[in-house]
Amino acid sequence: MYDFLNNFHKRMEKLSYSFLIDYKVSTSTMFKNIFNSFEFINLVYSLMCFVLDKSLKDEECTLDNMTVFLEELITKYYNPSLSEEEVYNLVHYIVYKILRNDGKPFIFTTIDYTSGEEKIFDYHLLQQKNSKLDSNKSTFSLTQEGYRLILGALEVDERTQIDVNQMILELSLKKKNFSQGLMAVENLNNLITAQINIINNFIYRTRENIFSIEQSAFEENFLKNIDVLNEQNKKFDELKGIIIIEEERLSKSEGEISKDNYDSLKQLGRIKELLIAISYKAGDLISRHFLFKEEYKKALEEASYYYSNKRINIKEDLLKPIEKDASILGNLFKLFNPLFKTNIKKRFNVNFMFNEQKLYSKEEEEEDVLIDTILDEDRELLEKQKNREEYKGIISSLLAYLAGHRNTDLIAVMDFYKDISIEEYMKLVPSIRKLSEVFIELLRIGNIDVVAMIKQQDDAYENEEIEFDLRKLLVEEILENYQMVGIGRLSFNKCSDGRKITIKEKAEKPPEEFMTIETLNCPNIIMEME
Amino acid sequence: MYTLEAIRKAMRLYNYLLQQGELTAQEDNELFQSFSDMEIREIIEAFQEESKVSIKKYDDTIYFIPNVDNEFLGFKRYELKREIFPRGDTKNIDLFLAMYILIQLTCEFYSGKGTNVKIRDLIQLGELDEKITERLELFAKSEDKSVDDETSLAITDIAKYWFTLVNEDDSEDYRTRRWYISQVMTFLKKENLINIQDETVIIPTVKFNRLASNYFLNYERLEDINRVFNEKYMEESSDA
Repeated sequence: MYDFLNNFHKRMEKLSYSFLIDYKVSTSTMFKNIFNSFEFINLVYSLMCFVLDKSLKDEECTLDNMTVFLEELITKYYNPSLSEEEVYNLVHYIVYKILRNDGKPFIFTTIDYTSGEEKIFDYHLLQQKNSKLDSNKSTFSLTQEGYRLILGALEVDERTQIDVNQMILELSLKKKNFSQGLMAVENLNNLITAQINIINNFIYRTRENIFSIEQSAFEENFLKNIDVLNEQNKKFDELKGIIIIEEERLSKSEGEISKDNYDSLKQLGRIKELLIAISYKAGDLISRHFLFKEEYKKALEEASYYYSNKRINIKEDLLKPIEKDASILGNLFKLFNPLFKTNIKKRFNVNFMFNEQKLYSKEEEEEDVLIDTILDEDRELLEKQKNREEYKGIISSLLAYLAGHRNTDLIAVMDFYKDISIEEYMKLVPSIRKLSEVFIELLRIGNIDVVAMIKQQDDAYENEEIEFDLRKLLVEEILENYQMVGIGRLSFNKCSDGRKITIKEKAEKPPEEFMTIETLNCPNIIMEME
Repeated sequence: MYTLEAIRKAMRLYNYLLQQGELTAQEDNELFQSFSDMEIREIIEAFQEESKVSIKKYDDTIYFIPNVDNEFLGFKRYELKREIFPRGDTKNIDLFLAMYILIQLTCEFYSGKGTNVKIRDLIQLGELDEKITERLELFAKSEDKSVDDETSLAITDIAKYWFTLVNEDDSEDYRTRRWYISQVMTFLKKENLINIQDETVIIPTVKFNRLASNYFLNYERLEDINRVFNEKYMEESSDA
């Protein structure tokens, strides 16, 4: 209809960025008594510039960083004096309520006059990630739209701006106006860094959810941006060539280097440095983009296999039925269960006990060294002594019952000791760990030839370090109490009838609230004495 | 027939997922790629059916998702109660309220239509509190119990309970509205479904985003939903 309305919607998209921010600021009621609306909008954009700076430097930008910045700014240029906490709240408000729009995308509707179609734009201005230093805090950076708003450029212009700055750089190098060249290269660095950040952001979003990006947007943004970078990089190499020639020319001048030449050399050095940094960043991205292109293609193919676009309407199909009959809430967890981590019950692993014991005593030793060696040695000895006593107690209780009954099983033993007294029970079960150790060892050996064992023990080298020496304990106990009984053979075997027995630890004092009571579940064990 | 090698690889992948819950290419590329192998995937599919789980690849991650009726891997009611309210001494109404908070939170994030299920990417604790209060206000005033069944619980009961709770911003105080919200959020954070940023801001994790939009709200789950809704609420015997 009117030529001047061509691409109107594109202009409006760009204008909408600031419109939506301004609208949010003008309709909000917070901080109105402290700042007037001009001051407030200035503060909002100052904060945006701060985020831009941090984004370009690829530095973190947390609420704390912003608070420090804004506090300084307010003290210096705005009248009210605010406490640090107040400034933090202000920053929190500006970031979350205004720039992040409570997490909802900004939506703007306009018309493409050429086609007559309604155009809807939705976007975020700030991107939020977890801070690397403290994952409970967030760091913010600009999105593509954020960059456009602050750098004030449309996509076409970005390209043009890069070209213009590059031309300025080239011309200033030729005209030997190095300070102007330095300015141009700094602009270039910002523009290219923004470009790289946009591409990285794009990759990040695509990886997170492939459908958040339309395929046309992929071609349009990603591939085109890469092309721009590629082209620029070639150009930068040429420029680097010019700089080297200039540097050589300046440093070859006879005699002492004049102050002007010295400044020029310094500026040239800085230009070179920035150019190298830019090419390095861009080169890295270009080489990575091939991999990503493949990844994207593959992900798209696989996506069709998994995704279905047909979805439940959460409000109609879930929330409303629940509000009709709230007793559904009692079962609702079943629907959420698939989202939770799998919840597997742990079982007691008998094999683990040996490891655990070693580890435990080793740790103890290591810790003790630091405190008081002599005292600890004593304590260690006492500890070992106590442990030996406890093992001995188990063996003697067991043999005492066995000597009286000859053929019996674990269930009978436990029943017997359970009813006598707590002292007797604790002699047999000082701890589940120790009791298990004894039985594991007995089961491992299975049949014990008592006579041979006593003979072997005579020949054995005694090692004081070992706390639990089954053979030694058995021999001592038998020689001490059962020499007259004449025990020839002992045997311990797992019973195969599948019956299980549960053994619990007991304590003299009633268990405290948080104390856990160890329990052992094991198959019955047949015991024989001949 | 499948080769032993393929079965071994499938088992390795299954085991990894059982332990870790998810797998990305960065963590173990070889294992991750093995999922794209047709033979291994077929074996995995049999494992899934037999063990009542779903193994799905969404974007760059493979997820291990127990089915709704998988009582071995999923929480039982009393277990969940203990997870959300570790201090103990909880009544049924506590769990009901927790579930209501959870579904409201999910609604806030994922009530979009079509491809854009996710309608926002953060919510402040205060706003969530307001939204729940706003919603329950609709029911608090009405005496109409549309559910006649004596044993059934009506939303008005939940609403009334909510309005007996102290409305206090500090979540440290026991049994305030904010305390209930904070108990649920702490649990969700532990489950890696949300993050709590800058102390007050709830942000769903990538996992929550993917599972909610691709799995939780998948149209095929309607059957599950109706089944769970029709099950009569029964006290579990171990529910103490």
